[in-house]
Amino acid sequence: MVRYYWFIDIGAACEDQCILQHSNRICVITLAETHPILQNGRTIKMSEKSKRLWRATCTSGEEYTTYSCIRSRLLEVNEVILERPKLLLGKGYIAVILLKIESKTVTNGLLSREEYESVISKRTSSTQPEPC
Amino acid sequence: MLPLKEKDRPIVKKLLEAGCCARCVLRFCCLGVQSAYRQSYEDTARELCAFVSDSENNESQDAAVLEQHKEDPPSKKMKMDAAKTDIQSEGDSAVVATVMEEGDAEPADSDVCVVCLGVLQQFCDEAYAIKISEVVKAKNYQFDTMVLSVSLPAQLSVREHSCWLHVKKEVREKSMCLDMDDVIQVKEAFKWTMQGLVSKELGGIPVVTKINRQTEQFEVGVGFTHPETDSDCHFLAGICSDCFRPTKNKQNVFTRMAVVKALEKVSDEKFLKKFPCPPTRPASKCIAQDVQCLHVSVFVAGRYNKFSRTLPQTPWVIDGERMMESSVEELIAAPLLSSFRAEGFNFSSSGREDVDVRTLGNGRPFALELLNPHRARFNKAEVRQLQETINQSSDKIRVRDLQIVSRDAMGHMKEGEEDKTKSYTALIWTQKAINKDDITFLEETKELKLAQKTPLRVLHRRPLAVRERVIHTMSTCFLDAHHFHLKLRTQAGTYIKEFVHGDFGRTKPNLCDLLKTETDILELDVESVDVDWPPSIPE
Repeated sequence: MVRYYWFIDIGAACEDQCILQHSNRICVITLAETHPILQNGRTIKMSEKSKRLWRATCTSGEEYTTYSCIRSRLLEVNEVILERPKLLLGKGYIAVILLKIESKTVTNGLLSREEYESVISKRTSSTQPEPC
Repeated sequence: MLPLKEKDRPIVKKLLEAGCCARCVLRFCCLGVQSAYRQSYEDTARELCAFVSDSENNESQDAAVLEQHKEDPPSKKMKMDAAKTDIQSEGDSAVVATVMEEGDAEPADSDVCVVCLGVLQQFCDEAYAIKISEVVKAKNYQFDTMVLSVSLPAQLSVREHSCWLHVKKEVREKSMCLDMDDVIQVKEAFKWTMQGLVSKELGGIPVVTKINRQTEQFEVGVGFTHPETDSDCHFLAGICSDCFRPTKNKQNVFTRMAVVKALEKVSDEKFLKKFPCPPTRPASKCIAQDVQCLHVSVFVAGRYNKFSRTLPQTPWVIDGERMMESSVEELIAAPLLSSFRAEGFNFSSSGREDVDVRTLGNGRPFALELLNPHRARFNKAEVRQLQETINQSSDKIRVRDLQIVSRDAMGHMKEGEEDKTKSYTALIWTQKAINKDDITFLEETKELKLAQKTPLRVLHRRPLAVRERVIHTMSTCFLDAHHFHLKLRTQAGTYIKEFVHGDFGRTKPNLCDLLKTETDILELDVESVDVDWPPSIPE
């Protein structure tokens, strides 16, 4: 019964985030399915939260930092994924934020589901890995 | 006859010279006889002068003086209402002499009293009582008793203080005692006169005095302002700054209370340095503000059903734009507002439901405060009729047990919110295909404890917190492979929707966990709100 509108951000190095937005300006930040952390074979170890949200270290040694990409107030950080990072693969979330300003203008830089999928398909279809 | 004594004479003389009106003089003589103030102003003034001139003796001389002065312009002291008589009150030529000594060349100062600023002169008679009662009659209120309240400009206290100091000197010389507390207050004198007069104009309705903080049914407020002398209070801020804190709204800091407090603190010396004693003569009388009428609120309670899934409980407005037509509270309040002829309302209920949720069964208790009702008395049959009117007005709601209750009612209703239980029916959708046996275990589950973080859908207006709630019992009704009805009885304050879909795991345990599938809630109905108030009214 809850309506969410999907806006997806293409970050550097394909670190895509997914922002689920409720009509009351509350947003839930999760990782998009193309985020490297969620790719096959990687197990995640979460560490340290800072101003920029989370720092995640994968067992293969890479480090990823998720940044908040919208101007907002941080309401809640999902502590559960510190212990069970696998939740990020399913219904888990990283943080809950409250948009500070009128939602329409804020989400200008973000993509709808369709736009996101078209960008993804371009990535995989090109022969050379594109700088994201 | 005014019951004045020999000892009062010097006070009367001194105050008349200073510019006090007749009634204020009586007040300073601590005359507590109400009937003295009910005399007409002219009679009072005449008697006072006679009292003063008595010391000079000789009534015949007075009569002669009266004749003599008939054609003269009115004296500065006791100017009568021009429409009335032009009898010279100054029977006492000695008093006249002292008045005239300043030289009469200047135009007559107004004869507005230096203390009451005209309140006890021009606004304390039948004419003003008629004006007041005309307003009351025009507004057409229903009431059995009435309270008359009067609001006076703060500077009256300052001027009163000044006059008191003026006679205190005199009184001390004659070794008498005069306590400020024995002086009759302007408000008291005003009410002693006006209560009876207004009552008479309104056909004999009792006009009573408010006792402490007791709320009477109906209150009529008269008020006076005198902008000319508003600055009289300002010097107090310099002497007694802690009494006059600037308020947030930048409203006038010189309230009556603040001024009275400051006057209690300030020494006679300091006061006399900064304020004239006796006070200066005002050029004009007070301005009477509009008469205000206020009837005490009436409380109406009942229980409501909501049969629509597109009706909010309270008006839904975003940025001035109405999102949905009407609301439960407006549908209930509209007929009541018009029958009670009230100016506004406050609606409250024992909990609330979402727009898309129906309220069935006996309904949800509510109470409606009707503000400033012009009509307050309704018998049981009339109330039943009001209920019927509400029910006829819309098929989206229904009201039962409608009744007039006391103010304490609101407390009873909110009591129910945390302690009581509520029961619901929800239509559940499951992603995974299920069969009858998959859900029977829910019927065995008793007293299920939940930890619910503030749901995302209300997080923008509620603080983040974890609430422990209990689902007492559940029962199921299988529909098909992906649907079933779930009935629940829960503790008040349980978020049902979040229990079903889990709210990103922020409600634990949730139905997704229990059934090991993604679930969602398609429909929700409130079956009962288990609060035994208001008392039920058999139809």
